[in-house]
Amino acid sequence: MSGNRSFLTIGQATFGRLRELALLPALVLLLVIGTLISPSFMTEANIVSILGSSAALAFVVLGESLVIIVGKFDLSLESVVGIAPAIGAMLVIPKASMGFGIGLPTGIGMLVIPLLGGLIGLLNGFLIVQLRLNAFIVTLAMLIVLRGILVGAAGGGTVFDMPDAFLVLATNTLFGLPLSVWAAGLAFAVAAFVLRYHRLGRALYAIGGNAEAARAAGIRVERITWGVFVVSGILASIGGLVVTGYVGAINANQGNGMIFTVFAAAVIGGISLEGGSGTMFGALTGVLLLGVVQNLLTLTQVPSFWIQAIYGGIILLSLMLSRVTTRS
Amino acid sequence: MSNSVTARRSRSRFPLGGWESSLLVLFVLQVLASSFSIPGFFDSFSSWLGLTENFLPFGIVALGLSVVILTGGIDLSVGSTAGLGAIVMAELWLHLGMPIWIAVMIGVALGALVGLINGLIITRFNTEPLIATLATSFIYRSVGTALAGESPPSGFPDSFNALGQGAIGGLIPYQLILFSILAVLFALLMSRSAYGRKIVMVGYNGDAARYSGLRVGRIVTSAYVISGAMAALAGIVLAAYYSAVRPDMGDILLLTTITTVVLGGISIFGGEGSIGGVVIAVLLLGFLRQGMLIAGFSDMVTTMVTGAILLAAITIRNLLSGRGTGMALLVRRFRNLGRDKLTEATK
Repeated sequence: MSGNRSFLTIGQATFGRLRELALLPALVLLLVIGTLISPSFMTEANIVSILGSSAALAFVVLGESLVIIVGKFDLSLESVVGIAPAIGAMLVIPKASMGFGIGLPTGIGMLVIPLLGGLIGLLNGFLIVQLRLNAFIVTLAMLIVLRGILVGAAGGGTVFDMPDAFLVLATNTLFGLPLSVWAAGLAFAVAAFVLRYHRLGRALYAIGGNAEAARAAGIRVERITWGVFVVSGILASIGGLVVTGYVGAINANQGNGMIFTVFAAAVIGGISLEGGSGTMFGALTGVLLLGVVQNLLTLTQVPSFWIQAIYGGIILLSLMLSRVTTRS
Repeated sequence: MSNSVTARRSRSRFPLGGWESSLLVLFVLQVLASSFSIPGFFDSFSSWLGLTENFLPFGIVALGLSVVILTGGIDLSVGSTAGLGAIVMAELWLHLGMPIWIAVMIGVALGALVGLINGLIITRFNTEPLIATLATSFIYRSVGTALAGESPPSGFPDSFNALGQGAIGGLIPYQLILFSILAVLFALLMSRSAYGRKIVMVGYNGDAARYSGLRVGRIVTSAYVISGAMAALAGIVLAAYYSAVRPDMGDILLLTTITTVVLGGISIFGGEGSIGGVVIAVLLLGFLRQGMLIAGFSDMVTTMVTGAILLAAITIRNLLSGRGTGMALLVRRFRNLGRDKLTEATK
């Protein structure tokens, strides 16, 4: 029994390694192609812009990957991307710029953002973990409800004129890179370390692999899964703040449709929807791959609507690739 | 083999029958309440029937999606397929001068074809339907946008627009007739035909279905073909309703349709549920939404109500089905907690 188990883990590890090894050359190849195709690709400004535009996606993908690894699902993260920064900002700004006109201090508004993200995760976790409802349906309902609330709160308009603190992640730079890039990199590094070396991280894989076995091994399955939903909500809200920084305002449809790209990045990065496998390094590579592809297509002036088709093609390709690597 | 399937069905029919009849009662109550309390909801029988034109395309998609969900899959590409089908229809009519009804048939056939592609990707490569149809939905959407060009076609002939806006004798909308025919067809197919039983069996237990000699891959693929064709048809009805096409016109379909199917009592795990429930859910959600819009509620409130209904539906279904031990456990835990506190207090 124990021999069997360790065999499984080895199998999974090799599988993950293979995926990472398959992705890195793809990324390098894209960089080489980019350099050959466009002289403005391998410039510092362009690399910074790729990283900057990937940062928001990176936060949400990180959150979603954690949820998928424990074998669950969260569609509502895209709504969190919109609603958390919107509510946070509206508490602060005056009525004239679409706020509530309460005029709370900026610090409190900023604090509300992750708080709200965490709260939504808490609610999702309650429904999915405690009431054992289907995660797909629960978070779909949550997505619809939150979208409605955001449209209602923002009156269908745009929230603007925010204090600089709301934009600082995108506008301020450190060593030439936007703060959002550093923050996303840090978040991924912490997550990768915890998943690889910490008991808690190993527990996530165990739960996703086999929740009953994890429970038998003394892992607090419910509590940890619930916690993952909260953390991913917080991460998505920070992702939303980054989007806000880049746009400079909050549309009522901020985040709409983003979840599809999030899943694309996670799946390309080798996070299996069945749960229990996938690495943070892979997920990050998935994000960067999509970022580079989008940038290349823009530079070469491919009509923007083909970008989606190419995303779709990459997803299909990586699905087939993963079939091949598992069979071998 | 057929015996075991029949046995499963008759066992599963009892709670589902309960679910459907509860939905039906809700629907009747809701229509009655809206008619008395919302001025303009029931001005005349024909105007009341005319309300269905606003939501029946959702119903058409829901019928096809139900078959996919019954097999335990999901089709996220219905929105893009609807847009693609409508655009291809419109382009064939405008640029090739094709008679519009021939173009309509080709549009629906194209929907079936992209459904076939979905099905083959899912069954041949053994991929998650969620991710596979997500990927293809990206692709269909791009192709649709590319075909539509800068200014998508509009201004179709009146005979075609009648499909979306017209009514027989000014009373019964063509959309309603189309939907009714499809609903009866689907209900018969799923509950009375061998094919329907195979779909349910594959969804209930795919391995068992395979061991008993069913060609699971082929059956699952066929479900996606049906879903694709229905999505394209819905897109074409929408095109007639607006007398215009847009590549993103199907985007609104997806979330509402999944809500409808689940509310209709089809288990997201597959193998459970009936078309009857979905049809009632289409009418219930549709009339509810129209009623609220007429009563002056904003789009936001109606959206939120849809989400809340979805949550309530799945919670209640969970309580009713055997899977719903979660709630019972929770209640017991709270009760125990109270008892512990009580004993502590009495100490």
